[in-house]
Amino acid sequence: MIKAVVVGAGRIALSHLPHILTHPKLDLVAIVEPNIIARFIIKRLTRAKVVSSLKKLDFSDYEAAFILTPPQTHFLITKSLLEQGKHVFLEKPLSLNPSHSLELFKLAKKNKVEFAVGYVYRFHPVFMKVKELLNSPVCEEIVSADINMRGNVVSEETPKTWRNVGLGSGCIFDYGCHAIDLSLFLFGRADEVICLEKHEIFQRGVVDKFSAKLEFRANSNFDLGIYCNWADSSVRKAGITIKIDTANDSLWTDGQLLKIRGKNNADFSIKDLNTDVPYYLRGEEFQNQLDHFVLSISSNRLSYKDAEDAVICDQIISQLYEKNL
Amino acid sequence: MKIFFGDNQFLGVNHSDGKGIEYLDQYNTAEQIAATLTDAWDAGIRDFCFTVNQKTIDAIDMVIVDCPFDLHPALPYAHRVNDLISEKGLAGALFHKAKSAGFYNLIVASTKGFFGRYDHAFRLLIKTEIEGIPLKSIKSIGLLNIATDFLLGLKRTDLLHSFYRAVNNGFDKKPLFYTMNFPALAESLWESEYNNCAIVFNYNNSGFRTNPNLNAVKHCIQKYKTNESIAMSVFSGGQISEVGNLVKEASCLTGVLFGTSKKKNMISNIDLFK
Repeated sequence: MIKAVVVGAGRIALSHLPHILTHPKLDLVAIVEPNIIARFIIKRLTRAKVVSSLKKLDFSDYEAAFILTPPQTHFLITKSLLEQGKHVFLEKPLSLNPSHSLELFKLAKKNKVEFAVGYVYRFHPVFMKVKELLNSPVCEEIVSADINMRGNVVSEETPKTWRNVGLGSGCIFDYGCHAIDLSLFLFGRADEVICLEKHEIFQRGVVDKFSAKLEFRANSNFDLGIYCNWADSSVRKAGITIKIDTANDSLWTDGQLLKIRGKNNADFSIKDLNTDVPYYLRGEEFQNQLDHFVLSISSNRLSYKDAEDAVICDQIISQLYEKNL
Repeated sequence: MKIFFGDNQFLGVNHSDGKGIEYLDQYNTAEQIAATLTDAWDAGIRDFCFTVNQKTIDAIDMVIVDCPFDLHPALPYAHRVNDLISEKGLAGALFHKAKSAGFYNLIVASTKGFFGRYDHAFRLLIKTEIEGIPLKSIKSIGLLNIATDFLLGLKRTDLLHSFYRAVNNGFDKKPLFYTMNFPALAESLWESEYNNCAIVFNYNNSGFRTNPNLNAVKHCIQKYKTNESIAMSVFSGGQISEVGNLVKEASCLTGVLFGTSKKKNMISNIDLFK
């Protein structure tokens, strides 16, 4: 059994905690939450030990930590845990500063601990299928690609929280990093990043909508468009669509359906893929992601590719922010 | 075998052929939902399972006199809860729901909740959720899988039991639990002698969300053959004839839940399962 702590009991913890509590190889030692109301609620809900600070726990009590706190807190918390040789699962984005992200990544490697970042779409059955197709002859010679993420989570009336005001807020850190990470997962690192547009709809300094062009020139020659909008009132449920045009085919997916048209014609649906998970809540990807983290630790096969991509993702985000339009 | 008409199409949920958005456009108004409900009644369907939301309640109101369905409302509507938590935060969302129950009820529920008795809180929650639905037409009250599986994951089977008692004792209706984790839930309820309830779960040839796997689900249906098992998502994979065989193979299933927008599909599905 891997003894673990959860740091942060906000909204995303509600998705992770049931998976953590049902995982046969995880033993939840404690939940750390500084806010007294959130602490009260999460204690009533989980009946777990809940403390106000990591300092209230002995470092020897646990070997892994799930850090589910707002992005601006990631660096210091993660650094202290990695320095103590703890395996870390960190919610996205890795940090708000690419040099901090790189420092954490190097620290994890140096201390030989598992370091995972919560880019959950990497573990989504349909996007994993897209990745498989990209490595097959079906997708030879990509001509162009688009990743589009839209949702309706912010409006004029939305109360101000860390998500939509201040450091680490806005669509780029929320939706954008998922879309950028998917681009890294599927296509690798781009040679050039160009910010096309950024819109601050509700609050000055907070990006609600943006688009970018990622140019791939080294091994292949195509442009990838990234379009994100978290304030699209026409959308009922947040979703990602991916479109890839190759020399012979066009591939399209919304995470439920996957269509290939052209020389090859095929339709896949999520129901055609293996969706078996030992415990299901909100999508297979959460369980798959957790299983990967636990297996890496228990089998001592530490993997750094995803965390390395998360560092690159933060570098791309930084480039997008630097661009003044 | 009982046929239950579902409402996924009204909510724009479709995993099979990408018609979710199309359905959302098609069922933009209560009148459009009411028209399909009338088709379902004419096709011979008598039970309607639905997620509690105002548009569907309005549609029921339009048809209930001519089409006196047995109603099976289920809660909570995940998108509404998600929006509420996004808007107000977890604590704010809880406070908002509590506030709508009234001050006295809130005090009683909180006091009982403090001592670990949540039946009263569930009764209040259910009462506020099913407001506007004709009570005499309600045959069961369901807990949707987002809530059932969340509590199951937190190992709070005591709260599932509280919901069971709140529905059984508080409203004299049958509890219906929706889940994507059928064997684990069946063990939590039926092994603990909470037998006067039905469980609704995915069951299909392709094994789509039949967790932990299709064989375990088939085994579970057999193991609890005296309990009420209702299959949903039966058309997720396989030819129609295979779907019929799959359902017939599980002879102890007590019901099948499906949704469709087309009357001819309603009729053919009824033929298939009868």
